[in-house]
Amino acid sequence: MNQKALNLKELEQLAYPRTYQDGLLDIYLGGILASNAVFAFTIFPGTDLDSLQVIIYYLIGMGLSTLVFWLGKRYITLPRIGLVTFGPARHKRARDLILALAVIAVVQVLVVFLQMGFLVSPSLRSQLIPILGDTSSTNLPIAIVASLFVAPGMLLIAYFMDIPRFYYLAGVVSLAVFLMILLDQAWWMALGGVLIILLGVIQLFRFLRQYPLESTPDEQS
Amino acid sequence: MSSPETDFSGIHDIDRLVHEPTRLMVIASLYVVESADYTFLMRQVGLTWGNLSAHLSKLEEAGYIQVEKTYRGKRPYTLVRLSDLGRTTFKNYVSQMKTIFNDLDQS
Repeated sequence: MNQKALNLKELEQLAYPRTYQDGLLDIYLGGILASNAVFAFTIFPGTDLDSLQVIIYYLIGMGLSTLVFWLGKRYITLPRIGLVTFGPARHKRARDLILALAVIAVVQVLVVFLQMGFLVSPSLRSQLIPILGDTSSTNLPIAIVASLFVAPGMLLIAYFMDIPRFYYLAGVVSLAVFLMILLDQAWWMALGGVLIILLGVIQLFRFLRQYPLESTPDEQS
Repeated sequence: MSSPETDFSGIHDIDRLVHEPTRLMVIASLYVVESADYTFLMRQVGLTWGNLSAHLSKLEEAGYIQVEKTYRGKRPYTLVRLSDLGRTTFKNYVSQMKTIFNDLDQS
């Protein structure tokens, strides 16, 4: 006889990830990364784009990502898994995530100012070189700092939103930024975005197979 | 019929509306969320609409759930949530069951 205690916490934890199994958030984040890669092409060698092209490609990329996310949630996800609002504990985690992201953003701004001061102010530079070393001759330290910039945000999303595969996405984004700076090639960032989109599309197909459309009285009325 | 020598009053007091396994699944599913629509509940408890509807009607009649019709764009949704009475009843049910089985363990 199959006997298992009713665990309410487990019940909630099983229901919650279902709302993110559709892969649409992955596609959206991959789209944002790929769209932002367009700006990287103006900094790193890879292809020649003028400012107008950059803005047009960026807006098209961001617009498409947002549209796919919004339409997908409305016409694919909701009819298949339905509408659910989770309890106060999940709302609190969402608030905690916003707070943690804000703290990370403040820290990152401070680091940027410190770095600018390091580059601009000769006195600050001479004070910091004995501590940090002279890193201006190589891309490696910049690549490490930049990848550490993008990783915490994604890791926080993975932790607070309880989506384990986002730890993996954080790794992909960090690696893409790291390789872009280290190898001086903007394509790496675009490639990272495309890879995340592809993972999202695979996730979406699995979701469609797992949750076929079922008729409910709401649709019949 | 003579009265039993053992005190079974705890078992007699169990809310039978909640105790029925399918309704218990529905109530437990609603207990861990704020609100959910029919589609979500059907997926969560693995019931057909007809079956779920019958149980929801009984729970609504007892005042344990609240049913609210709403729209997202042009699409209608029927949201179901546990009422305060439903939450209290479920908590009491869990506590009653724990007490009964704890007592049995000791015997």
